[in-house]
Amino acid sequence: MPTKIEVKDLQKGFATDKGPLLVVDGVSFSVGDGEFVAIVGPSGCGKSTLMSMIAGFDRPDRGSVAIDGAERTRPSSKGILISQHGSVFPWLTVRENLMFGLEGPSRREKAELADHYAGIVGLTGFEKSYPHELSGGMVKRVELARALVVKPEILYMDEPFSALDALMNLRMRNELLRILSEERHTVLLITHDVEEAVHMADRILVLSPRPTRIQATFEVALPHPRKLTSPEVQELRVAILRELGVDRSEEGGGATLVVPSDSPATPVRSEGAPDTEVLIVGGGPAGAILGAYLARAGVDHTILDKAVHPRPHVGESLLCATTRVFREIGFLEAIERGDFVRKHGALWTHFAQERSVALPFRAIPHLGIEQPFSWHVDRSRFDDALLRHAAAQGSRVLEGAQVERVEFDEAGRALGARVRDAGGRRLLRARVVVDATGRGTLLGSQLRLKRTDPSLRQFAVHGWFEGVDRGDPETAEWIHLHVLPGTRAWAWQIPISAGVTSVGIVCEAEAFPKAGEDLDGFFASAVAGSPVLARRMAAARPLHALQREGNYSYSMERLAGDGWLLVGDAARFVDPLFSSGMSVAAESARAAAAAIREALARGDVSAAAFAGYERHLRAGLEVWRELIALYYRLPSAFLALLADPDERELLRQLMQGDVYEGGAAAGLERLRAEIARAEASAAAPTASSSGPPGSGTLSA
Amino acid sequence: MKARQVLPSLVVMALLIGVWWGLVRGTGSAIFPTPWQVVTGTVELIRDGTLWQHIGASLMRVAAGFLLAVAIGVPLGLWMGWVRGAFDTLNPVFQILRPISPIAWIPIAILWFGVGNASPIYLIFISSVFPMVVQTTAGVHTIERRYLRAADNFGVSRRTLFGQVVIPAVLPQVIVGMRIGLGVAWLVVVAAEMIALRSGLGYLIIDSRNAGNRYDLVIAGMIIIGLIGLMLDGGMRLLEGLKSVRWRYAH
Repeated sequence: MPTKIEVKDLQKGFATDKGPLLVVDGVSFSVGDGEFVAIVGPSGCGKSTLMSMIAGFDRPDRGSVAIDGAERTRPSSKGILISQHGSVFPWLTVRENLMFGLEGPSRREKAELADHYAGIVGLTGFEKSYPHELSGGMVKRVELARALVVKPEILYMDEPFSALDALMNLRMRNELLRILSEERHTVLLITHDVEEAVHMADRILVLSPRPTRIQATFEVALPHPRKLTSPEVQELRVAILRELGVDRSEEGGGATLVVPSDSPATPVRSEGAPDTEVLIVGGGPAGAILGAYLARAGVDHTILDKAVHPRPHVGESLLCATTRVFREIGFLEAIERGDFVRKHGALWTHFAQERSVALPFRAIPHLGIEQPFSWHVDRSRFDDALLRHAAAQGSRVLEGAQVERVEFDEAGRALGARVRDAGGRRLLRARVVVDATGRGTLLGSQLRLKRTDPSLRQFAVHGWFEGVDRGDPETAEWIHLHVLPGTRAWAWQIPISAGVTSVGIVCEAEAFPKAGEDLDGFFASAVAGSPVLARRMAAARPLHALQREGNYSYSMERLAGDGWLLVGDAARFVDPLFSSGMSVAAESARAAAAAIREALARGDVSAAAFAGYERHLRAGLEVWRELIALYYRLPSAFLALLADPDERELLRQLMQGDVYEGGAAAGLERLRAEIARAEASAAAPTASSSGPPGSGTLSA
Repeated sequence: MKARQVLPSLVVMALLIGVWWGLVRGTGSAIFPTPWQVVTGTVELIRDGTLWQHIGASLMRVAAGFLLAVAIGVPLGLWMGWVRGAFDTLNPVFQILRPISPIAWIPIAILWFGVGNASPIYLIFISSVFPMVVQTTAGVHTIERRYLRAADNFGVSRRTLFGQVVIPAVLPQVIVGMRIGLGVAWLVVVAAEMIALRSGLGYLIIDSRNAGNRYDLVIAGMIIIGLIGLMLDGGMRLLEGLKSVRWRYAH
């Protein structure tokens, strides 16, 4: 492979008030023709300065850049720079932007070439649109097409997709890879996103902090398309993160180990001796949080994760009370860094009412939670970050392992899990097995503990949308819940990022279209059932096909036994109306971690040792169940109570998810009485005249 | 909803007219006209055709002075914005000339151009050229670097650079400059016509007062000046709706 770019000993400094500041200190490397090289480095390390010099916009103080052997001193159209904020001209149409750099042939030929490239990036039909009429992702496509149309030999990309939301970022990467597989370009990518680099590059250079120089080089020999959740990718990513000093395993003591499933890292030991103290089946939020708690307590454990592809996931909204758990496992900074949308409250609308009911969140001082908000999260990104956090805390994570069943001895004690992976089938022994398989309910199904709730057989259809009107700017970033006509029907509206909104419809299973029936039509008619939601969705564009899923509430006869526990959705699933899913996962993991520590310390992992865990969790779950049941009896009465400023404070504790430490009974009692009263007055309207305020004014 | 926006201001106007009428009646003023007298005065002007002559004369002078200012001010602003030396040389001069009221130029205008059409046209030019130069210069200075860098990257010709980057990037600012300039021009033409000449809305007002205290026509002239000013500004606002400049106002 001939050398395309030769960077020799580049050095650059700036004069500041405090004297000269050296930014780039002797960087040398070369890029082969057609090679994709990524440069990652900590923020503020001088990456952009380096790129500016290589692309010819800035002169180095020392050193040189040669393209095809000739020294580069000025920018040229042989190498086009695409940067974070983009430089698509807002005053030109898509076609005019693409024609900008073209010269030579007639205007008609230029337009034809421009339209061809607009088609390549999927913008056919938008040639005459102006950038401000397009979404952020589409503008990025315009920029990419404008660079490609002049057939540059080199693409310089400086954080090209970092201004996009997570989903769009991933789409643009795939788009770029697809184009590069058809048109060969040499690419130099600068990014702070290690995953982006591992996803696309042939070689990754890691920069040191300022003054920056090259600290390490990684060859990425993996074929495309690369699966982001594959062990190889994760391993490389962890290695690079460690190089960047982001990975905390060195300080934490526990070894970060993301073991490829086919490596011999976990051999079958002799009979009797456990392979690990605690085996957590499932790397979702409940499993990862439990892992993080155990890692911080120094308890040996292994998380088995059957890596699944990222996909939109129900339960994208966190409750304030759950913040305590994230703080305790040291994950709060990661959430803040993750740029998730802050959730400052909940807003309810009713299809038959003009007025909406707003509940701004407050701090929860007795739980030590000072911020009056929580977050909306893109679950695939959030769950992934949570599992990686557990690994960074010291959790051993085994990816790609399929668990067939939990094995028990003759006395009914859990022994471990029967696992099948690339290396064959084997028994992983553990002193405690924790089922965190979510709605897979591994143990619940195996031991026939599962009881579905026939009164809450719900179905959901949901998806991510662009162009959703989020209403009043004041509450645009809140969760919005829209009560729809029809039995137990409602919709959520959750802001995932600046441009993406998650919208889902939930209703009783009987009303839901069967498999093969028109899901889009059902969704559209459900949306039309609420004037508010219909207005919000008027200009919405779906980002992918709608997803359907059953939301059948179920409970388990037991939550723990001899050597086993259930956490998260594996222990209980209730209707997602009050965003309780993540709350149950986090709180059950927290309580399970405490119970397991104590049980291991006492050397007793029998059912009796986990009885306290079961009682504690059941009490909290019972609050959620009753709250949801009461709500569905008469949604309008619930909203009327929530709308009354005097009554609202009683419900606040429930609505913010503070249901595990007691004290929620008062709000529940008030709601119980109010619903009963409203039902009675609905049956006998004359009796309502003496009722308390807020009652009888609304009817579903 | 549209009616709900318009209604309050209509009510205020009706109230003002009501108070005006009441005050004239109450004080029994012989000179100050009632609203109805203003209406009949206006009808009279329309009937004998003089109103159209006056409006036409004023608009012609504004058009001439304003277009001259655009033709000179915009290129000058582009040059000053692009060439550092031009800015350093000319900007101090403009900063001194700019705060001088156009009215202060009247004696000099009469001295140089006499009492014909040239004087008011010169005054309009002087008053509207400065906002245009200043806005255009500022527009060039505030073009975002990333756009110039992109143009540099593609290695386009100077013609493409100006035609497709610099001028379109500055256009929204130029339009703002033109709006301000036209507003000032309309103020100035009336003042200039009061001094001399035999036509125009300014002349109509002064002449009506001098020739027999026709205050109904004075007020009619004032209201017509206000309405035309409103329409001129509305016309300039239409320019802001052009697709190629809307990016600037969209946020």
